Order: sequence, then structure tokens, then C-alpha cells
Amino acid sequence: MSASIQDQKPLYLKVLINSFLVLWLLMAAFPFLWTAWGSFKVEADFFSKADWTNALTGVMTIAESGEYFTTDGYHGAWVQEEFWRAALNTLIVVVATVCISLTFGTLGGYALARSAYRYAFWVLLIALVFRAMPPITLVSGYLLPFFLVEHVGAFAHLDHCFGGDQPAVHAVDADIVL
Amino acid sequence: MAWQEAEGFGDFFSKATNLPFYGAMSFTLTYTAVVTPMAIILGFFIALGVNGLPKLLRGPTIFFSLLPMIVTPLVGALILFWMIDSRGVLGVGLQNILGDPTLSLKASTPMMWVTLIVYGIWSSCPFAFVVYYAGLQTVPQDSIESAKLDGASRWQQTWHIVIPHLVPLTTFMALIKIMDNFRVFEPIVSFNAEAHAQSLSSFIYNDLSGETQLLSSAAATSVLTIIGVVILLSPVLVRTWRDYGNQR
Repeated sequence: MSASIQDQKPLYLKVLINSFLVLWLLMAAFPFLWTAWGSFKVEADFFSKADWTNALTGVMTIAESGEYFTTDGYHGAWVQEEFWRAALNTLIVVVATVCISLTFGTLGGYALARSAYRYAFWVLLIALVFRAMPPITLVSGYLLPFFLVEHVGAFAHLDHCFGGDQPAVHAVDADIVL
Repeated sequence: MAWQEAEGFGDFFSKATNLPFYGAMSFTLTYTAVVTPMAIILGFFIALGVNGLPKLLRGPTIFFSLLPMIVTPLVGALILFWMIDSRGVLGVGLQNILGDPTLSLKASTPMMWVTLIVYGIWSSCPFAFVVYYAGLQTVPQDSIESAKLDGASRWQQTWHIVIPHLVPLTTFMALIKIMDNFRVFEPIVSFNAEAHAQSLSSFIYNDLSGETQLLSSAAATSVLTIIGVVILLSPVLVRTWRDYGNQR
């Protein structure tokens, strides 16, 4: 049968497909494997200014810690730099956001789908536009009322009412990055 | 403001087109226009390749293919940023391949744009891959079989049966990807590329986070960005209008 003959891929096609896949897997996975490997080395090796092969041979890691692999990096991140605090913050945001958006999203989606009124279409359009908007476009609108009240003369008396003498919250930079 | 200072229409025009906003706009548009189709095409070929693998190999291949998408963009971009440093593993590799020991991807604007776009394709094609891979599982086998009986070549089967089957998925994916690429932000921060390439998002961010906060500039850029989004989405919006809005 010609069908069964055609199911066999010709050799050149096999080679082409498989080498393409291997190339892609290398591209996709190599950065992460490299970083995972480097995370067990000391900084002087992984970000070596002398020679990038130090990350492979681990010269400085052996010199500094006496072993080929070290977990100093993890200790430094979790304990010294308090990465656990950031992880906890992220967890809080994730749980809250997923719960709230799923609750409102499913209820609202159901209501919109059942609604016979014309506004449902406009809500859909607006939702599409909002989905496409960079989150940061909303920040400039909210930054002022939330964080910069005391910078602006017109709002100064408001600030006195709240007894705020705190410096303007420049920590907002960090929020934007998140 | 430029209008009042300008000494004539031509002068105003040249001032207006030199505004940094247009730099941000042109990068964002270039990024969106290049990354979206490239990522979709690459993802399609990966999906075709994975679909032809033996079952045992598919699981690990899919997992590793998804890595660039799963990892937070900020972290993924940062990892690549370390690697393309002129002393990093990829930077040194490129210097060896091109035979130019002074090559630095971070030094020139075109190189930075190319790097950002390559990063964009790298990080967003897994999404296209997953969607296409799911779509390939539902390709009607009857049509494929009859095409084979009619003597259609492998390429003809793909072109006339598989691709038409995947067109609706492509529309959906293009929509999502255009939205995502239009708000590109993390790679620019991670690659430290503000000097060479600004996207609309990073432009607003810079306005807000600088020493003097340019709130009105940020707000104006935000509004212009939203208008840009609406223009970019207008084909889809009109289509939705036809499909949905006129039903009643």
C-alpha cells in the first residue's frame, strides 16, 4: 500500500526534524541548566571576570569552600538577603489575586453570557482593551492619590489631617517592578 | 508646549517627531511586529516535530520546551543577560564565532534591539507550541487518510489539512501575543537596555521612578498607549462587533 509506505518518513526528513528539535531543546533548556549549575558555585566563578570556563572547573569554589559544589548561594539568598520574605509576599499576592479574580471573573462571565442586554458587548470590548493595556499605564493615575499626597500643595492640608510626616513612599518603585 | 516654542509648522513637525515617545513607540511596534509572527511560526514547527516523536520522548521534550515560558520573564531575561555579557558563556561564544573579541551585545542600539527581539521570540514561542500541539491532537485523521490515498505528499497534507485546521487557533494566539508583546517591559529592565531601547511600558516607568517624577508625562504616555492598544486591536474589535454585536 502506498499509505503504509508514506508513513515511513524519508531519512533526510527524520534527520532534519530531529536535529531541529535538539537545537530547540538546547536553546530552551541550556540557560536554565547553566544557571542551576552555576548556583552551586561561588560568585567569583559564575561571574568570573578572568575566564568563563571557571564556572565549569570551579577553581574559586574549591579555593573558597574546599568543595566542588557549595550551597553558600542558597544560604545567602534565603537567610542573609531574606529572600523568604519576598517569597512570602509573592505567595500572599498570588493567593489573593487568584481567589478574587476567579470569583469575580467566573460570576461576571456567567452574568455577561446570560445577559440579553447590549452593554454586555461593550463590557467585552472594554475587557479586551484592558487585557491588552500594560499594567503600568494604570500606575500613573493611582500613584498620586496613594503615595504622593504630601508632594502636592493642594493636598497638603489633607496630609496634615492624617498627621502624616512620613517621606513620600518611594518604595512604590519596587511595587511597579512586581 | 512644542507647539508654542516652535517657529513654524516645519519646526514643530521636526520637534514633535523627535520626542522620546516616538522612540518608545517605534521599538514597541517593531518588537510586536517581529516577535508575534516569528514566535508563532517557530512554535508551529516545534509542535510538528514533537508530534512526530515516539511517545516516550514527548513528555520530557514538552517539559523542556515550556521552560522559557514557565520561568518568570524577569528571571529568564536576567539569566540571558548574564550569559550574553561579554565575559559570559554566550558572549564569549559569539565573539569566537564571529572572530571579534571586542564584540559586546550591550554596546550598540541595533544589537540591543536584536537581542531583545530574539529574547522575545525565545520566551514566547513555547506558548504557540503548546496551543499548536493541543490543536494537532484534534486534526481529523479521516481527512489525512483520504489525502494519503489520493497520493498527497507529506507537505501537501500539512498545507491543505493541518494548517487550515489550525487557523482559528492562530487568530486567537495572534490576539493574545500582540497584547502581550505590546506591553513588553521585563526584558528591558533585565537587559538594562533603557539607553538603547525603550518600550512604552518602560518609558512610563522611567517617568514615574526618576528623581523628579514626571507625572503628567507618564499620564500622557499612558493615554497614548491605551489609544495605541485600541488602534492595534481595532481589526479584532471590528470582527467581534460583526460576530457578536449584530446578533440582536
